[in-house]
Amino acid sequence: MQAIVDKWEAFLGKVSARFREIMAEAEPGLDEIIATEVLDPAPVSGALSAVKARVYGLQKKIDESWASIDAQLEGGALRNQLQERGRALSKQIEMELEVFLIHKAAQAARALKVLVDKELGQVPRCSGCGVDLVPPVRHEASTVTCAHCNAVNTLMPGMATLMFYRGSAPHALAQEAALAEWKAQQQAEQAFHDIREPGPADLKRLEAAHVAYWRTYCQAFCQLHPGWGPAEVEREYTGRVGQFYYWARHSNHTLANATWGPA
Amino acid sequence: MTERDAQLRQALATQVAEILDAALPIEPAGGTSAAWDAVLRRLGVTPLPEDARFAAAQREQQARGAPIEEVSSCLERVVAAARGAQAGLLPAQAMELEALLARVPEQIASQYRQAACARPRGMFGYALADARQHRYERWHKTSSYVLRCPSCGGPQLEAGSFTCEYCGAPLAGSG
Repeated sequence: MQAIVDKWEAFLGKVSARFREIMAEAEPGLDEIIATEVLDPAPVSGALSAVKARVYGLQKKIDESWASIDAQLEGGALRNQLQERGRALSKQIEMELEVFLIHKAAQAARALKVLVDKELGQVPRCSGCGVDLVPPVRHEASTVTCAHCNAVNTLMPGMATLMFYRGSAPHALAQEAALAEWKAQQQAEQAFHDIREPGPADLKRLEAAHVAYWRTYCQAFCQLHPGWGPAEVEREYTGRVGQFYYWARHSNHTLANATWGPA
Repeated sequence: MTERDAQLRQALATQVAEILDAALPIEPAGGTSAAWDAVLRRLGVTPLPEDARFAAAQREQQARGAPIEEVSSCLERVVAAARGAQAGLLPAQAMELEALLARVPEQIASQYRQAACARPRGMFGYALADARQHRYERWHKTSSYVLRCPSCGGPQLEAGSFTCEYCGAPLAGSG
């Protein structure tokens, strides 16, 4: 029996070491890609997918190897203990990967913002007569009538500006700003699902974690949208946290009749 | 080295560079491009049929670039043209140049094969190669345009109005 335990521990040690190797390669690799190109989202997206694919492959190996170990065990406390060791490692890997992905997506967004600032520093000119124009907004397309020649100009922001404000940059930066709350939310989810029959107090704790995360996320998200104020923050928050309340009302556990929270 | 000798060598180097510059960036491997088609036409090389060119690239395990067979044919043409232009060289120079010309097709084709079959390494090999293309660089600027009358060329003078203020023609659509 000890041989099986040793084998499992050695295997988990190898998986853990391999995960460290992947992350050690991923960190400078992504830094180089972000420094090279963020205007085109494909390279960063492809690189993040490559990291995910490697790590998911490792997690799959834990599951596959456990099936082989499990077949040699006879149940009982030792089996549960070994299985939990594998699950814990898999969960730890998953969390570290997610945090890494959040940081790198935010880093790419910040690099894109540098390009946005360059574009916003450019003065648009009338394509009819060439005089400088003052656009009413800089983060999206607008029309301006030239004071000199009266031609109606359609002004288009540069690619970086459009990518930043209409792409995933605000999400990436908001996710990073709410990272502590996100971790707490993940822990609360795990704790809630680990309870065989959760009660109202457990659900309240889960709600508090969701509320804290989405509040922080939406504050950060809305600050990145020019012209958005408290009303937009509230609208965004209600929509985002709404999925939790929907789940609470429609989930099939003992709290299916929960009536609190926004409609 | 005489001026004539230097000219011939320079012309050879330029033509080889043109072949490689047009052939290597082609993706997917075995495909073609306007630049490569122009090279083939200029050198009088018949392109491989579409099925054959992709099969050839696959057989050679190319990661990119025009088929090696087409590149070799182009190199042979360039060398043949250089051989025909040796008049005016001293015998010793002609011998040296001939030795160079004899090596060029195989040597350059071998270098091309190496470059065309090279695959990016590491977890981010493809992503980094992709990043270095800077595909959207030309869109990295603020731009403006004025809608103009297709009939008289006059600019749109009022946002939302699509009838030319000058000649009355529609600014957009068939009217």
